[in-house]
Amino acid sequence: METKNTVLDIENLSVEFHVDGEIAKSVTDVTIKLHEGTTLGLVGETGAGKTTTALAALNLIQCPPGVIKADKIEVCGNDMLHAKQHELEKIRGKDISMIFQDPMTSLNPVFDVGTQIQESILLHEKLSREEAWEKAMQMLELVGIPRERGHEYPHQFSGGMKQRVVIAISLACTPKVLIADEPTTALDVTIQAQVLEMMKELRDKYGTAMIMITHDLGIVAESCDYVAVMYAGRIIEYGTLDEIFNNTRHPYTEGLFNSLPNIHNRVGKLKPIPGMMPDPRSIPEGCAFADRCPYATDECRRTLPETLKVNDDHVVACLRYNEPDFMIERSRKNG
Amino acid sequence: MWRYIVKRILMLIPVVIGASLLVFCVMNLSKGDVVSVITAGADMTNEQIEAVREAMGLNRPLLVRYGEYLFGMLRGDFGKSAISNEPVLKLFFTRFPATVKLAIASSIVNIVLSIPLGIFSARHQGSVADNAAMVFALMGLSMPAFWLGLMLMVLFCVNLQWLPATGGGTDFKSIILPAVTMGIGMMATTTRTTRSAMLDVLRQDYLRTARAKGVPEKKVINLHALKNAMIPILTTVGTQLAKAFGGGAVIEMVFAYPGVGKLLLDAINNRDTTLACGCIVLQTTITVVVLLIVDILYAFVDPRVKAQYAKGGKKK
Repeated sequence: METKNTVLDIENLSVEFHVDGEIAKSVTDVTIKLHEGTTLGLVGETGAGKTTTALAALNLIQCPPGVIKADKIEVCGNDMLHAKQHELEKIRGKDISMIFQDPMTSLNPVFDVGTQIQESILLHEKLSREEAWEKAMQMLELVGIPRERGHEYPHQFSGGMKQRVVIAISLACTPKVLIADEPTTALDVTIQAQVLEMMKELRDKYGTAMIMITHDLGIVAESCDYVAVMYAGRIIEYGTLDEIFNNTRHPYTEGLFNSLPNIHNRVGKLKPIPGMMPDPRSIPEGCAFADRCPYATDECRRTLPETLKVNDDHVVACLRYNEPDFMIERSRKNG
Repeated sequence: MWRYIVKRILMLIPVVIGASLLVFCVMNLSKGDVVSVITAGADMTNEQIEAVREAMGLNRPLLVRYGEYLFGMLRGDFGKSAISNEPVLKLFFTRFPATVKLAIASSIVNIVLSIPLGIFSARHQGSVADNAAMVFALMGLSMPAFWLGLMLMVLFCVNLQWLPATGGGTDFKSIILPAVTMGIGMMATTTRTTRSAMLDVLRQDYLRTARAKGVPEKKVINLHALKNAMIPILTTVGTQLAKAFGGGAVIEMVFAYPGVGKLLLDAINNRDTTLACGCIVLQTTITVVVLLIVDILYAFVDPRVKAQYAKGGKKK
């Protein structure tokens, strides 16, 4: 694992939004390292800071109101944090690109889809317009859309087709890092599988490193090598897919698994995690999950948990592991 | 699409009938008629004046006169001016090129000033610069054209002596002041429209997609965003252009500019019903045609509108 190149390196990233005198802490102290050809699943409920983390990697957060602080944000060795605007423009779309959540609004309605793919190619590769168009058409075919439809406009495509176009745009220059922000949330289930399959094929073909942002643990199980669980702006558990799924440590991660419908127990009710995620404008000083956590103690509410090492492939941020015998229910069952 | 165009042109008929009838009625209601203008100061008895009226057919009922006028118009005969005895069409179209020139020149001033200003304001929403730009734009609307025209004249013609004071000349210089005066008047609306349309577009996800592709910021704004904001901008600029084709009477008066606005104004002052009515009908027609062209342009700016036109055509 260490021999592979690090293509995305984020250290201690914090993102705040200053609006009307209030500070919303969207992301706090997030560290992500991504190696060539690996896929990281970024999991968490809505508002956990997943998308903000991704946008910060591209330095695409609007400042103001956003404020980005980090020790390091590097994409293929390029410093994204201190790069000038024109340098950023060269990195975005070429070394790192992003698939956005909502395909319905991610495409520009007044340009045909071919032009939108071609634009990316023209920006980053030294090709003539004709060559770039030809490559754009190849990309379109790669995502399963006949090239004859290249001159059509976004409104003439269905949601799934639009998402394929968005994927074609982001893959047009074979980026080293691809961030997929809930690429299948807006799609219906039949299309979801197709899109995921296609992304996996493309990853294997080009060796692209991927961050898969999702709240669907099924997708994570199917396509990721590593998993980072985010809660209220922090990564609270991080490890290999196997470790997170079979050696779950954090009570929140356990809650996520418990709230999945169980195919073997159809009569049983779903067990949602009670309560709501704290408001990013008033994150408690202790563990942000304490109020919803069945294992929480008074200590949890007061002290911010440090990141503890479970083993070489697994870290967790939970105070209770300072107690030698502590074990969440899920691991007890599995163990 | 063709069905749509034909439909719009057919809709011109009631508009023209309504406009001409209105002018006819209003001219009839107003004090005095063309005869009293012609004979003013002449040494004539009331009987003689009445005889002139009789000879010109002005004693007949309003509806009869209007019917006659309408019938002539349908055959393309707009009648003759009661004052100069020249055909209305000839009078109108000798003046019209000057009006077109002024309308286009002022629209260029309008576009060149408002669109960059509107984009700038939208990008710096809420800032001091945004507010300043909005105040500046509003000033353009609040200043009466005759006052602004006179002030510009004082500055550029009298004090600096850079430009001619009248707009009648054929050289480029003579059109600058009338065009700037008119363009500044148009600017307020266009700037505000551009600003609000851009504000709406700047929030859209597809701009983020463009930025994520590495599109340079300038191109994100001036191509990706502006093209999406184009429909409301086009509507405003088009409406103002159409209005300008009708001639800006006030500006034409101030700069002694030989356009159709002044022609219409003179016709009204002289109670020259045939000429006034002809001017209004022709201006209305031109306005409707310009607005139609703007509507057709929508289709080129936004493919979704084109699809709508095509669908509308198929349905019928």
